[in-house]
Amino acid sequence: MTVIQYIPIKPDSIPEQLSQVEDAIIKKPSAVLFTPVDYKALVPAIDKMVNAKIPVVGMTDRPAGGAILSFVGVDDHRLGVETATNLFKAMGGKGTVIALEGVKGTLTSNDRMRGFNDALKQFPNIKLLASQPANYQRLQALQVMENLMQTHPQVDGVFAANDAMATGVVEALAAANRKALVVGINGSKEAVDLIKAGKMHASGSSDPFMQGCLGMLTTVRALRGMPIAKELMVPVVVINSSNVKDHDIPVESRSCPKIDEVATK
Amino acid sequence: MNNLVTIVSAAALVTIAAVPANAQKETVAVFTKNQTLGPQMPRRRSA
Repeated sequence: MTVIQYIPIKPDSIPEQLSQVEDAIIKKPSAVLFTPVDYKALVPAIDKMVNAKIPVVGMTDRPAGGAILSFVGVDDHRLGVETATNLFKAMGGKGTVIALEGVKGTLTSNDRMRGFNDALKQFPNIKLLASQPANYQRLQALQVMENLMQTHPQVDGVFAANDAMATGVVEALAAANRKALVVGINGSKEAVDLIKAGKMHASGSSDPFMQGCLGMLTTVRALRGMPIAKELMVPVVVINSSNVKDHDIPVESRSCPKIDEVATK
Repeated sequence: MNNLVTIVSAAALVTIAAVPANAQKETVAVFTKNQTLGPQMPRRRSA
């Protein structure tokens, strides 16, 4: 088996991914495992691949259209609810919180923030000071947090819609010699390291390793004519100090399910 | 140097080992996003 990997150099670059799709169509792979950089703008690109008789499986970000055979991802609303609830409980159900959103209009950010707001309704003694976008980027999160700390002298908790932004928040807090409970989403290695070091409270894991496993295996099953599920969702787990050891495993030491073990319903 | 390898793409590569090697002509194109953590911040002096 040969794998051709396409990663845009510039984060979320639509023109770059469109160009990569054109390249793939010329190379005519047996199948495509596709995570769009924009869930709407890349729909015509999916159509183009399907019209070129290339089967497409979606992963991580569900496209708004296009005839994908299957989608492998995570319930982002549930991730938002569980991660925020974990934060609010750690705050003792009271205090002030700031939320940092991802890229406006993206499905993952919309769903995670909807989950955050649904969880917030269950904690009437937690006050939302501000909810601002930092576009899933660490540097932007650092700058947004620096500004918000000047406006708000007391911040007890921060919910970041991904770990990259949570990392920026941790840096901003450390630079200002301030403390707050910080949570992110992804369960990345960086977040696991910060949780171990006591600098971050928790991260809602979207288990990208398992998404990669299931995405690739579903794609291979599809091109071999084996049954596949229309949708596969990895379970939501919130990583904090109580279970961080279970998630502190190098990628090279993890294992995927076997191709015959992948759920088909 | 920016870390351009996404977490998902790394996982996808690892999964190759899990696929039985009985189809040498199969080619899968994997498209991922670039979720770099961004440039390292310059060191700051302690407050």
